Amino acid sequence: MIFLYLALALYLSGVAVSSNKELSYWIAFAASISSLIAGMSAMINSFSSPGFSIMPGFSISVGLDATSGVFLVVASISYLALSFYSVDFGKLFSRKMAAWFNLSLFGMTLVIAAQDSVNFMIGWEVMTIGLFLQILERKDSYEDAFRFLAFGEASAMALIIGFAALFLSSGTVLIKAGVTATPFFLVMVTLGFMIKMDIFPFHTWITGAYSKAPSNTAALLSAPLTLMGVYGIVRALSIAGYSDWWGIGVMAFGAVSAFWGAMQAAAERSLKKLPAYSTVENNGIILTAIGLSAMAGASGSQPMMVLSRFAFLAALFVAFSHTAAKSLLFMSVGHAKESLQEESIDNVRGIWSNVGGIPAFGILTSGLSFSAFPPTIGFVGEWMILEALFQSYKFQGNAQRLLTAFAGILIALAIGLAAFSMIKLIGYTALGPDHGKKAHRFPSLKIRSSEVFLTALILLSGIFSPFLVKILGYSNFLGGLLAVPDPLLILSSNPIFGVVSPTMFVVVVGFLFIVPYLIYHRSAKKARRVQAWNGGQTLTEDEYFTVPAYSFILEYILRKVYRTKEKRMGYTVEVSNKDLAEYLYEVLDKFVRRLSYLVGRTIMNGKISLYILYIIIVFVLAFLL
Amino acid sequence: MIRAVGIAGGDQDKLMLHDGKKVWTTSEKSGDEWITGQLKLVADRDTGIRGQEVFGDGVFDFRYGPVTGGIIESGAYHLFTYGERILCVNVDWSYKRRNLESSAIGLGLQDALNVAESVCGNFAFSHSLAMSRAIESALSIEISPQLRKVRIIALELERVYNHIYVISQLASAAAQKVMVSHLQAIYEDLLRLNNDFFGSRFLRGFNGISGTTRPFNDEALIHLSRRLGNLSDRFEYLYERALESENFMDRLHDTATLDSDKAEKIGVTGPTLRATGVREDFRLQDPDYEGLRCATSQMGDSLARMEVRAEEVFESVEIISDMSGELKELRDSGIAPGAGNKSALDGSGSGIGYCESPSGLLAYIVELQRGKISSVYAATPSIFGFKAITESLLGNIFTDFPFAVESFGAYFADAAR
Repeated sequence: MIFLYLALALYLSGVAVSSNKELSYWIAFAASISSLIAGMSAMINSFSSPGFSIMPGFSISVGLDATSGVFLVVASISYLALSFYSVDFGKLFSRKMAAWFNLSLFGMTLVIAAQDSVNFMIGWEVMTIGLFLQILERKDSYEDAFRFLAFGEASAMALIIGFAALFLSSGTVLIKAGVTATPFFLVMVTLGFMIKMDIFPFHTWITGAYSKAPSNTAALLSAPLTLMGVYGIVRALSIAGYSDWWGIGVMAFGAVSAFWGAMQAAAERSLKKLPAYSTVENNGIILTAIGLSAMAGASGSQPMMVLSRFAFLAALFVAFSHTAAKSLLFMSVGHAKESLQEESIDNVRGIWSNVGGIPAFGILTSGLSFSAFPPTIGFVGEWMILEALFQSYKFQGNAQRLLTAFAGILIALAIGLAAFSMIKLIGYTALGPDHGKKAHRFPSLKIRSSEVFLTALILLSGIFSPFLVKILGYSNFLGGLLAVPDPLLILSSNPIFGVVSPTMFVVVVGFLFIVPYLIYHRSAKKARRVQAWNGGQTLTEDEYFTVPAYSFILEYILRKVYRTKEKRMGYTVEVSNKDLAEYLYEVLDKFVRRLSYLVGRTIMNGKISLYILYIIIVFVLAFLL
Repeated sequence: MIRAVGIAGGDQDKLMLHDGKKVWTTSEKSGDEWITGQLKLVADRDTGIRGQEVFGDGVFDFRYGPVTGGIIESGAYHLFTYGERILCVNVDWSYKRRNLESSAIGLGLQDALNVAESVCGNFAFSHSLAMSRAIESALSIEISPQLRKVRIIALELERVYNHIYVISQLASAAAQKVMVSHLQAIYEDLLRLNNDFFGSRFLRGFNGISGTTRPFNDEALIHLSRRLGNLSDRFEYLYERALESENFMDRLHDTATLDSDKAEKIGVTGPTLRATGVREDFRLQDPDYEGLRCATSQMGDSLARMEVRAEEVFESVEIISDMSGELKELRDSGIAPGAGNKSALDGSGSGIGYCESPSGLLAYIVELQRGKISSVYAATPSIFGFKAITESLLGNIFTDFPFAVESFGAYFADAAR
C-alpha cells in the first residue's frame, strides 16, 4: 500500500517541481517504479485504504486487487519507459510539459487505484486535463486539443450518468463486485470507456491530437490512456456480471473498430497518424476479446467458461502487447521525427543509418509485434484472439455463432491489413534507404535506453509468454506435447483445441536458421554490396517508390469506403481520403451551430424579458431533474 | 520555309510537309500552332518525347527500362505516378542511335538502301521501299508494273507478320499462353515464308532501285499465296477464339483510348488512326491497290487497334493473292518486266518517297549528287506512335501499360535518329 501512496505523492511532487523539468521527469520515473511495485504486490495480495466518509453513503477509498494490480503493472511499464525517455526528450519542450506529464500519470494511477466512483472520476478528469494541456504544447494544436477534450468530456459525462445509475441502484459509490448494477449502468459506462479506447466511431479526434502532441504524450494517449478504458470495462463487467446481449454489442463494435482502424492505417502516410489508427485496431481487438469472454461466460457451462477465460486472457495479452509496443513505437518515431524534423513517413527514410540503429530497431520490433510476427508478444496476443474466435462452434445459438464467425473474419482481415501498414512503416522508415538527410543531434542516452528496454520486453515477453500466462494465473492453459516440455505450450482450450509455443519456436528457428547462418557467416567470403538498380541503372532520388504509391492500389479498389478523391489542378495532383466517421461529426457540428444560431437569435437576443423567461425555465427544469 | 506536298498528287486532305530537310505528315485541318508543335516533336527526336510534368505529394518517376524484360528494345518509359495511375509519360529512346542521316551520306544508292532497311528490323521492307521510291522520284525513274506488284506483295507480307506479332504481344500481356504459342508459330511460319520466297526472314536485301537484287519467280508466288491462305485460316480461327475470351477483351477494351481529333492532332497514321474511325490509308492513293477495303473501328482503344490489325491481315492476304494472280497474267500476256533505266542512277536531284508501313505512313526525303546520297531524312510512324502512347496512357493504370504500348506497334529503332 505504501508504494501506491508513494507513487501518487511522487507524481504530485513531480508537478510541484516542474520548474526543473529534468528533476520532474526523474520523479515521474521514481513514481513509476513505485507504482510498478504496488501493482506487482497487488497481484499477490489485495490491499485497500480505510474508507473515508465524505457524507452518508459516500465512503471513498483507494486500493488495489489482483485485476487492478495487473493493469497497474502494465501501465507502469509504459510510465517507466516514457518517464525515463522524457528526461532527455522533455528537454525539447517546455517546463509545463513535465508538470502535465506527472499530472496525467497521477490521474491514471488514481483511476486504477480508485475503489469508488468519486475517486475514479477525479482520476479520470485529472488524466484528461493533464493530457489536454500536453497536447496544447504545440502552437497550432488548439483545435485538436479541444477536440480531444470534447471526446474526453463526452466520455466523462457518460461515466457520470452510469455511476449515478449505479448509486441509485446500489446506494453506494463503491465500484466493486457485489454491488447491485443495472443494465443502464453497464451501457453508459461501456459507452464512456469505449470513447476513451478510440473505438469506432469515437476515434476521429486521434489523427489530429496524436500528430500534434509531442511523441511522449502521443504514447500516453495511445497506450496507457486507452488501457484505462480497457480497465474500466473490465471493472464494470466485474460489477454487472457477464451478459449475452452486452457481449454481442461490444464484440460488434470491437470487430468493426479493429477492421476500420487497420484499414485506415493501411492508407496513412503520416508518421504518427498510422500508429494512431493502429491504436483503434488494437483496442478493437481487445474489445472483441472481452465481448467474446462475456458471451461465453454468460452461458455458464463448463466448456464455455473455459472459452471465456481464454478470451479474457487474450484481451490481457493484447492489452499488454499494445501498451508496450505502442509506447515503443511512438518513442522511436518521436526520436526520428525530432532528429529529422519531418512529419511524413516518406521524409524520414533511412532511420537506421541517419538517426541510429536503436530507434530503427524499436520501430522494427514494435511493427513486427503489431504484425503478429513470432515470437513477439503481439503474435501471442493475436494468436490467442483468433484461436478464441475459431471456437465459435461451441456456442449453442446461431446468432452468437454467426457473429463470432463474422468477428473472426474482420479480425483476421484487420491483422492482415495491420501487417500491410506496419511493413510500410518499417520498410520506409527503419529499413528504408538513407536519402542523405542530416539528423539533428540531441542528448539521447535515456531515450535509447528506454527504447532498448521496451524492445527487449516485447521480444522476451513473447518468447517466455508461457511464464506470463502462469503469472497471470491461467496455468490451466499451459501444457506440453511431444517434444515440447510442460509448461512451454500455450493451449487455447482444455481439452486441446490449438497450441503454440513461442519458446520452442525460438529454439527451433535458432537451430535451423541462426546457427547455420553463423557458420556460413564465419566461412563465407565477404558479400559484395552494390547499389540497387532498376532497368540497368541506379535509382535516382525521384525514382524511389513513395509511401502514397505503396497503398494507392488499396485506396483505389476501396475508394468508396476510403472516399478517395484524385484531384488535378494544373500541374499539381493530389490524392485524399476521408474517414467516413467524420461525416457523422460534420452533421452533428452543423446541427449544433444551427441550434446555437437559433437560440442566440430567438432567446439570447438582448431582450431582457425573454432572457429572464429562459433562465426561469432552465432553473425549473434543473430543479425537476 | 515549310512546303506542303499532296501525297501522290491525289485530292485527299492528307499532306506531307517538308522544310527541305525534314518531312512529316499533316492534314489540311491543321493550323500553324499544330505545325509548330510537330516541328518541335521532330526536332526533339534525338532524345524522345516529354509529357506535361506533374507535381504533388507522393508523385515519383516509375522508370521502365532501358534494360527490362517487358521492353524488347533499349529504351525507357518514365511513368510519373502517385501509385498505379499514370499521370505523365516521357519516352526516352536516346539509348538507340541509327545515324541514318550521317551514315547514308556519300553512299551509293544500293548501299543507302541497305542502311535504310537496317533502321528497324520489323519495318525493313517499308524503309527500303520508301527510300527507293524517294530515289526513283529524285531520278525520275519509271518502274515496271511487275516490280510494283512484287513490292506490294513484300510490303503486305511485312504487314501480315507485323500485325500478327503485335496481336501475339497483346495476348502475351493478357497471359493467353495457348493463343500466344499458336500466334508465335504462325509468326515463325510467316518469317520462313519470307525467307523461302524473298531470301530473307525480314525481307532484307531484296528490294533495289528500279528493280530487285534477286530475280523473282512469279510461278512460285502462286505457292506463296496458297501457303499464306492456310496461315490466314489458322489465324482466323485463333482470332475468333480471342474475341470470345472476356478476360482478354476486358484488358483491351477502353485501354489507352485515343479519339480521332487527338489522333489527327498528333499526326499519327496507320492502324492507330484508323482505329479512331478515320478512313485514311496511303494505299488508297495507290492505283495498284484499287478496291482496297480500308479497315476502321470507332472506339480508338487497344481493342479497336487490334481489330483493325486483324482485319488488315485478312485484307493483305487477299491483296497478295490478287497480286500473284496479276503477275501471272502479266507473264502470260508476254509483257516484259523491263530492266529499268540504269544510266539514270548516276544522276542528281531530290525526291520524296512514301509507303504505308504496318504502323503507318513512312516517308523519306532524299537529295542525290551524281548517284550518291547527299542528304536523307526519314519521317517514321513510330515518332507519332510514341506521341500517341504518351497521350493515350494518361489516366490509365500500370497494368494497362503493356496493352497500351503493344497495341500501337511503335519501336524505338524506328523512332530513333
